[in-house]
Amino acid sequence: MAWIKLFNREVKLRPFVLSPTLRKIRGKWRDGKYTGRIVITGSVEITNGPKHAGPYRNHFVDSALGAIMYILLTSVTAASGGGYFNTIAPLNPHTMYIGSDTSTKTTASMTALVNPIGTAPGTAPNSWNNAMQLLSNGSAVTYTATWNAGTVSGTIGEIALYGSAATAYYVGTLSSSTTPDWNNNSVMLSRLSVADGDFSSFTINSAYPLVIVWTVQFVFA
Amino acid sequence: MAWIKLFNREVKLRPFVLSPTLRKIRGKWRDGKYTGRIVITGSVEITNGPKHAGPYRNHFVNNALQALGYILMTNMSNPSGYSYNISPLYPSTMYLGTNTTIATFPSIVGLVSPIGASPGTRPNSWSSSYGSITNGYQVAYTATWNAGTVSGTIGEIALYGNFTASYHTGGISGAWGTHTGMLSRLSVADGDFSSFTINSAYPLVIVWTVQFVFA
Repeated sequence: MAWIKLFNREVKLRPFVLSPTLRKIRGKWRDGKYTGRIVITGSVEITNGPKHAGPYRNHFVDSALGAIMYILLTSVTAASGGGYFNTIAPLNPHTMYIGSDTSTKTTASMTALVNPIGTAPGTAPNSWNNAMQLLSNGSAVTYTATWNAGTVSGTIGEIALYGSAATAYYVGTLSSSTTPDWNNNSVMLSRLSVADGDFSSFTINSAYPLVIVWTVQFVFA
Repeated sequence: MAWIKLFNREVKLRPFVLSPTLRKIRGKWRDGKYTGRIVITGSVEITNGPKHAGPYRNHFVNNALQALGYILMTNMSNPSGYSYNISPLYPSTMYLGTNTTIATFPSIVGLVSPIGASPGTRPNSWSSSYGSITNGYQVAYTATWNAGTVSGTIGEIALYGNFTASYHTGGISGAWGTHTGMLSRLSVADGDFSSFTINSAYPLVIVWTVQFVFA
C-alpha cells in the first residue's frame, strides 16, 4: 500500500487497479491487440499449517534486470570439449530464503535479505520444485519451497527469491574456446517485505512445514 | 493506431499514453516505488540514405514468451560436450518482408512475405550494444544491409532469436535444443509504420532496441 498526504493527513491507499470496464476502454485506445509489451510480475503465497496467506505482489530488484540483460546480450555456445560453463542460465530462480526484518523497504539495488533466518544468505528450503502453466495471454512459472516442520523458526518479515545473475556482460558469442570473462552468481532476484506493506509479519509455527509458492507471470499486456 | 467505431463512423485513434501529470497521479496510487513489475518493450528505427523513420513500437510474439519461460524453468548446468546454442531469447538477426495486410498475432512464427529466400536475406552486418536508462536497461541491435543487397517495398520487419521448442524442469545437461525463430515483428498491417521502397543506392540500417524497466 502507498501513503499519500490528503488535506494534511496521511492516508493509506489501495493499489491502483483498473476496473474491468476501464480496462476495456483502455484496450480500445491501445495499439491493436498486441501492444508490444511483455509484463513480468510475481506473487507469493504462504502456508504454515492452518495459516494460509496471499497472494502478495513481489518487488523485483536490479539483479533480475541484469540477468535479462545478460540473456539479451550474450550467446553462449557449448562446443564439444567444453566444460567452462557451470551455471549458465541467467535468471533461473533456484531457491528462496526468509528473513526477519520489518523496517527496511526494498530498493532497486538491494542484493540480499536484511536479516536472514539462519546463516547468510539464509536457511535453504528442504525441497524445491517448479511447474509451468499456460495463461490466456502468456505463461506462469510457479516455484514451491518447503521447509520441513522444525527446520526454521522466528518471525518472518521478508522473503527472497534467489536465482542466477551474471556479474559481467559479454557482447556476442561465448564458446568453450573463449576464456569466460563472466560469472554467474546466486543472487536475490525479488523480495517480499513487511516494510513495503506487502504482508503482515508472522511467527513460524514450527509444528508444521512452511510452504512458500512464488509465481512469476509473463504476459502480453 | 487502433480503429474504433464512434457514432457509426470508424475513427483512427492515437495510442493510449498517459500525460506526465496523470503518470504522477498513477504513481501515487501504486504500491510504493517498485510495483513488482518488469516491463519489456521494443522499438525500431529505420535509416535508408536520407530517409530516417521511427522509433516505432514492436509486437513481441509467442516465441519470445516461450524463450522467457525456458529461462525461468530450466537450469542448464555444465553441458560440456553438446554443440547446441544455449541462449534462449538471444536475438541474433533481422529479416525484411513485403506484406502489408496481415496484422501480427501471438502464434505467428515468421514474416508473411520475406524479401529473399525464406526466412529472408540476412543483414551484412550485425552488432549489439547496451546501456542503462531510467528505471532499467536497454539493448540495441543494429542490422545493416549494404547498398544494393536488398530491394523491394518493406511492409514488415522481424527480429529473430533463439527460443526453445520444449521445456525442461530443473537442471539439464545436454538433452535439450533451441531453435531460431521470430521473437518480434513490426508491420504496416498493425499500423506500426508506413511501407516504403528501399533506395538501393544506400545501405539500409535498422536499429531494434529492447528496453526492460521497472514500471
